[in-house]
Amino acid sequence: MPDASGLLGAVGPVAAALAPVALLLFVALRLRKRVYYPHELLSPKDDGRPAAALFRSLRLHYDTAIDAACAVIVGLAIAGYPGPALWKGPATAIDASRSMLAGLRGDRPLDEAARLLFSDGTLRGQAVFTLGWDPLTRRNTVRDVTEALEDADSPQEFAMALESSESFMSADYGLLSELSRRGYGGLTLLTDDASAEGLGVDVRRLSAKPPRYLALASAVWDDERERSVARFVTAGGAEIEALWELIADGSMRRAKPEDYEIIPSPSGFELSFKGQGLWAAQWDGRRLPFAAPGRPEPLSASGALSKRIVAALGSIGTKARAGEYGIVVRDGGGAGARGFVSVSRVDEEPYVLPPRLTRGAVVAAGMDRKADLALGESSFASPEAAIPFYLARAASGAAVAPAPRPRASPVRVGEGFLYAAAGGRRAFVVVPPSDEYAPSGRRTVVEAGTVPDRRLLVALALASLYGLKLWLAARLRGRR
Amino acid sequence: MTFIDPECAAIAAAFARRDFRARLPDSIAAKDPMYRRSGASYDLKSIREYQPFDDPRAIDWKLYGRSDRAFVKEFYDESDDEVAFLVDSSASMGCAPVDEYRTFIGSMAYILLSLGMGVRLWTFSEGLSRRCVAARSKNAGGHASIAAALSALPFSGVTDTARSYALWRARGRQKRAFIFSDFHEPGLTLRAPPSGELFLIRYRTPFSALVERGAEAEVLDPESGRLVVVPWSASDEDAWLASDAARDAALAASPRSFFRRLDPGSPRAPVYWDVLERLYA
Repeated sequence: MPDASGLLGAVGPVAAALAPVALLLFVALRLRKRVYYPHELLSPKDDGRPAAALFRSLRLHYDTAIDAACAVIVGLAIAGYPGPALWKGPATAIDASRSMLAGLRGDRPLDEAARLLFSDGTLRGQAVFTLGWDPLTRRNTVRDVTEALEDADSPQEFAMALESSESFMSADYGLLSELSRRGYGGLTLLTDDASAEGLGVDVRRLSAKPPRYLALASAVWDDERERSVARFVTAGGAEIEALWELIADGSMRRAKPEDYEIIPSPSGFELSFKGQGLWAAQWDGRRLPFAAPGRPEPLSASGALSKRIVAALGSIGTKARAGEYGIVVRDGGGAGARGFVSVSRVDEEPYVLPPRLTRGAVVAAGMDRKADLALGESSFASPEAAIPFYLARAASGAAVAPAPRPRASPVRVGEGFLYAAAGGRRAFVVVPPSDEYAPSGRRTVVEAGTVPDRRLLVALALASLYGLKLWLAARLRGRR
Repeated sequence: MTFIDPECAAIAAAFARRDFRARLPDSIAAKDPMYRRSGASYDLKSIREYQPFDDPRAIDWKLYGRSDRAFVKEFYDESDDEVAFLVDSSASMGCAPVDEYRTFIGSMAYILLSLGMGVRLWTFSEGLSRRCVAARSKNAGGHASIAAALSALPFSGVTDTARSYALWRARGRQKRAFIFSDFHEPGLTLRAPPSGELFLIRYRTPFSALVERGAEAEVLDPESGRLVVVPWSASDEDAWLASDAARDAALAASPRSFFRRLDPGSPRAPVYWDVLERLYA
């Protein structure tokens, strides 16, 4: 029910919208025609009925009446009426990320969240959703698990149901706004993320466990050692127990000692391999799949400027092609194309190269919207100008080749998913982000999002009124 | 102004050629009154001695008492050749194009005078005018007097057709009467004179000619002075047409009556012809 003060605020917009309607009414009254005619010759159908005056006025001014109604609706819409529709009531969202499974069974944040849903009276009866990740589409999702909660007899059963239905890779708190858009209000988020702060969301922090993890920090090709190196960080005393080689169909076999070298490092350890491959490190009974990248392809060139650049970099290829894994430097347009770095020559260099291409190095650049790199005199003179090409080449050698959409069903491998080779693409693995193991310490603001105004309702009302107007116009005025 | 349509002379001539009965009767055409046909009018023709072939009922017994001889009175036969025009001169008629209204009545009178009929014209609004204008010929000032009376129509006052017609029935002796009016009074019923005929000519302006569809109008009643605001839509027009048709049907349903509606601007010659056809039927 709108409050009186809110309605008072709507007076201004409504009055402003009604002003032209009143003006039109005034003009119509001024232009009304006067004729002399015997009243007895007019149709007497309006006379004698109690409501004749009202209907007569409506028929006289139906145009103005409908315009005034539309003006009131538009004015109220401007003033924020009708208010957001929270017709579905409150809802609870459960963080279904990897960190929710940290700890021993029964003592994990997920188990605590399940117990909370069964014991907390304020959460009982609410719709329950999970913020998870879909391995098929590789997108974050928000999924209704209210039925699973209703079907479960105990918190343990509910937690097990979630474990079987969710991938527990990562969560996107931004999807809470989707719940608001669907009409849920009074959102509660159950999460173990201590950095999450709610804005319009009641964040219930679950007890986080002491960090104990083994996570992949980087996997690159080491040109000097001629080996593929995967570096891991560990915490809480986690250690690698075994190394498995992943087969494309998702099966695993124990790695042979000659297949790898393991070297301890201050933060953990590093594994090096002779070439590219898919592996899984086992710790605390868990398996973390990872990909060891292969040797990147040399740069190829297409065009005179590109050939000079690649020749200067010392790794010119024999032919230019749009490679799956190599990088082609080409002249002219096509900015942002996968497998290509387009370059152009410019005279002025008031800008720097995009940080994504230089890893933050300040490299002077010109401005050419059609090319990735617009190079001028100072760019060519700078030794840092080689950075973008080096980084592009290094990225092209990664075994985790980005695939827009996997063609085969992913296979669960430990804490990640293995996507089999398909369509000429290499197999690759997807693992939870490192934040799921080691908190980044960054503050995360969880917003409920804005509930959309009921514009459809307003639009329907306006459409109905104008439809009525057209119908009345056709009925009362007729067609000549 | 003469208020005569240019085609009136041709209509009268054509009708006279077509219908033998429409020619001038001998009783009217004879220059010597003694050769004019005797009849049952109140216009005395002669007094002569009773003859064996005379009707004994025609004997003037007063003369017989004074002179002891039987005499009979002869009257002219002219009553059937005069028609009465009752012309609505109320304020409501002023809403229509009045010159067209006058011209129609003047033309009708001209045609009838051309065919040898006499015309006696009364005006009415609340009641019948005390004086009437009589014309027996289109020449010799006959039609001029009609035209003068039409020019002098005041177009004022409130219409009371029923009362005016009753007053005429008390005064007039014509068996055929024409009433020119808009007949806007609801529930109006008029009965033809005994053994006569009543011609009702309805002349009114359609309201749709005054106001466009979808517009609204302030309608001032010229007789009552009341002002109402009227929306005018397709449905209003349909309702108006229906009620107007019902009014026409009610007027046309009177026995021994002839009804025609005449809209402003519509051709008048067919109406003249229809009237003549009915008059000489």
